[in-house]
Formats: sequence, C-alpha cells, structure tokens
Amino acid sequence: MRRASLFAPLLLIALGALFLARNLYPDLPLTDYVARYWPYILILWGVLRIAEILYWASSSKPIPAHGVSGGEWFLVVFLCLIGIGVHAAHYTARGWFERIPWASVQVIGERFDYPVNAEKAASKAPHIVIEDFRGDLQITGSDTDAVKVTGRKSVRAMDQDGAENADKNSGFEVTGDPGQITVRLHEGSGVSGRISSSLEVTVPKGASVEAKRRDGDLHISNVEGNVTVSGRAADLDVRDVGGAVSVEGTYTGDILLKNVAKSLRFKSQRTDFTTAGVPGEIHIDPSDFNADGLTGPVRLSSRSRDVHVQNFRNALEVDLERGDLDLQPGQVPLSRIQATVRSGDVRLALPESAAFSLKATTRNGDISNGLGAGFKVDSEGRRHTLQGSSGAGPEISLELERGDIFVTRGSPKTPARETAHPLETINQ
Amino acid sequence: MVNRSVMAAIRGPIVLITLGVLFAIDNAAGISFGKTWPVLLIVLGILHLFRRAGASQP
Repeated sequence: MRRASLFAPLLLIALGALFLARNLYPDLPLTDYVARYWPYILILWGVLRIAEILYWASSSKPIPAHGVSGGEWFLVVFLCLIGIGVHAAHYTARGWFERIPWASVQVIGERFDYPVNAEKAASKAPHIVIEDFRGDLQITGSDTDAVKVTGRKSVRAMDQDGAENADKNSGFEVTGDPGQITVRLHEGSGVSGRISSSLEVTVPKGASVEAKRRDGDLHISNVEGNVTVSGRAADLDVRDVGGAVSVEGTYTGDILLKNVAKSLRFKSQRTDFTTAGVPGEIHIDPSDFNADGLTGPVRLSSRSRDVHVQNFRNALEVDLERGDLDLQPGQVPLSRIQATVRSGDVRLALPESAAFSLKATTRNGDISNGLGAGFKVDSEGRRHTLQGSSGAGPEISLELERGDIFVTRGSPKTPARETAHPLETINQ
Repeated sequence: MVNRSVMAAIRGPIVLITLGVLFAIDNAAGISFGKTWPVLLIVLGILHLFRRAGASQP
C-alpha cells in the first residue's frame, strides 16, 4: 500500500506561492530564480522521500517497493524538461518567456488609443526623469528649450465608456521646474496596469536623462548630459551621448550603444561592463557581446556569452565563464590585456608591428601559435603554456580552464564580424 | 529483511538527488549535464551492487 507523501502538496504550495509572488511583486526576477534553482527541487524531493522511508521503516509501516513510483518518474522527467527549457530560454535564447504578456493574460477587453500631447518650458541643460510606465519610448535631443511629449496612450477596457473613464482617470504629467523635469504616467484608481503607451519625447540638447522603465523599447539619442537607464526593457538603443552612460537592468531584446563620449557602464544579471568611452559601437544580444571601437580601460565580466572586442585603446580585462572570446586590439602601441575564461576558446589577433610579452595558459586544451620565433609552447599533459615576447611591450595574459587558444599576427584566421568601422581598415 | 526493503526503496530517491545535484552543478558551476550524465550510470551501478550484495546474503 502506498503511503501519502508530503512532496506533492508541498510542490503545489510552492507553485501557488511562486505565482502569487509573481502577481504581487511583478518586478522580482522570478524566472531567473526558477532558471537557476530548479534542480534543488529534485534534491529536496529525494531527501524528503528518504526521510519518509526511514520514518515509515522505523514506525514499522509498510515500505513501498519502489521509493519513487513510475508516475513520479514521469513527473521528474517533466520537471527536468521544464527546468532545462526555462534555463535555456533565460540564458541563451532569452526572450520568449519574458515576452509572454503575463499582465495582459488576465486583462480581457479591447484596446482604445488616445493621443498624448504635453509640453513644458525647460532650461538649456535640464535633468529629465522618465518614470516607470509600460510601452515604447523615444527620447531625442534637439535645439529647443522645452520638453515636448507626443504619442499615444492605449487603454484596455471592456467598452468605450470604460475606456473613456480610464482615459479621464489617467494622464501623462510633465512636472517640475525648468532645471528638473519629471515625465510620469498618472494612474487613477482602478486603471492600474491597463495603460500602455508609445511616446516620443523631445528634450533640449544639453539635457541629462534618467529613465526608469518597464517593458517596451527605449531609444535615446543626441543628448549632451549623462544618461541613466534602469529597469526592464525589450530593445535598448542609446547613441550620440555627450556625457556618461549607465545602464542597469534586464533586457530581452537587442542592445545598441553607440558613440558615447564619456564612461559607459552596463550591468545586467549576466554581464558587467565598464569602459572609459565608446567612439565606435557596442552591440549586445542574448548570445553575443560585440564591441568595435572602445576607449579603455575596459573591464568586462560575463557568465555566458560569446565576446568579440576589436579596436580598443588602453588596458583590457575580461572575465568570462562560458563562451568564446575574440580579441583584436587593432592599434599599436598595445596596453595590458588580461583575460580569464573558464570554458571557451580564445582567439587573439595582434597587429603586425606590436611589441608585447605574452603568457597564455590552458589547463585543458590546445594552443595554436601563429607568432613564430621567440614564442614557445610548454606542455604538461593537457596543460599548455605559450610564452615569449616581441620587443619591449605590455603584458598580455590569457588564462583558460578549458578551451583552445589561437594567437595570430595580422588579420585572424576566422574573420570577425563584418562591421564597417573606419578603424578596422587602419590595421589591415 | 527490513534493511533490504529500505535499501530497495531509497534507490529511487538517491537517483533523484543525484539528478538534482548534477543539474545544480550545471547551473551554478557551468559543468554541463551533457558531460556529467555518466555519474548517473555510476550511481545506478553502485546501487545495483549493494542490492546484489544484500540479496546474496542468506
């Protein structure tokens, strides 16, 4: 006879708690927790079952012939598939899970659009704060001395009356004094979560921008002050910024950062990146990090992504857990390069005339030495070290746990991404 | 006798725990399950040995 196990009710309670948390605190990165910690459910299940069996045995109750029944194994396989799926969706093809419009699932009804028009006089260099709301947003600097908001607001409602009511109860407020202006969606009672928008905001060129976001695409261009972006968005496009840029949050789509005069900091769940300036551009998508044209010192750490960095000045430090690394400094003289990769291949293409000293080690992998005389490979089992120097130059250090190293001079064997960047032609 | 049936019953949960540990390692340390799955075979083999050892005793 089968004893009633504790696991099934506990799993139900946990699931309920998870969905409840999701509804009450929509900003908690719950899918991240699930993607990261789901295997502990299996461990917990096993431990609980052993405890139960030992308890049944000690109280002389009948013990089932199989600790985990056939039906339960089916559930285990199901759990594994879901867990692997969520994990893969979250870390590699990040996107579809986050893109499911969880909020709108419970909202039925029709969409009604209303135009948005608001304007407020501003100083030459105001600080603009865009507060949390849903939808697409485009912020552009221009020769103007006002903050102008245009676009549309979408209201979800059962009928026209409901929509009118929701429209009346909500609106975009542009408040503050000319030096500090806040754009925010004001939501009256009962309309929360039913309003999204697509806005274009024109700001004075000298403005600094602070955007706290939820969902939708965000484009910021042509401002001379600092840009700070936080929260959650689909695509992010920040270009032609005269100040420093700081980006922190979760992005489900593509990120483009282009032509930033001062320092740039990008921080997401998996990646932490800083550089002193971006004369070129950086493109980040769920699987790749591509940078072409950076002013260092550059520092990048990432959990899992293929990283390509080319045409960078000053020191570079990369710490990569999973993924391939492709480095092409481009310019001479070189600066210090330090890369640690836990699992993945490293390709390094140095300029023909570069002076440097190199030490490259892989604990488990091969080294292809395209540097020629003055460099030699020492082997010790699966561990290989390539060492040597060419002239008097900065130190280059590559350390791999598992993966192959390819070092070449001039253009690399595997062509890097085709990017039309003026710096690229210089080093050919 | 009791021990033997307990032994047989906890085989499933032990495999379950092993599975969980392997996936947890995959997520946390980056050693993929694609590489570590033979551990499951080893654990199954060991459990089988124990069962046979138990069965061969009078």
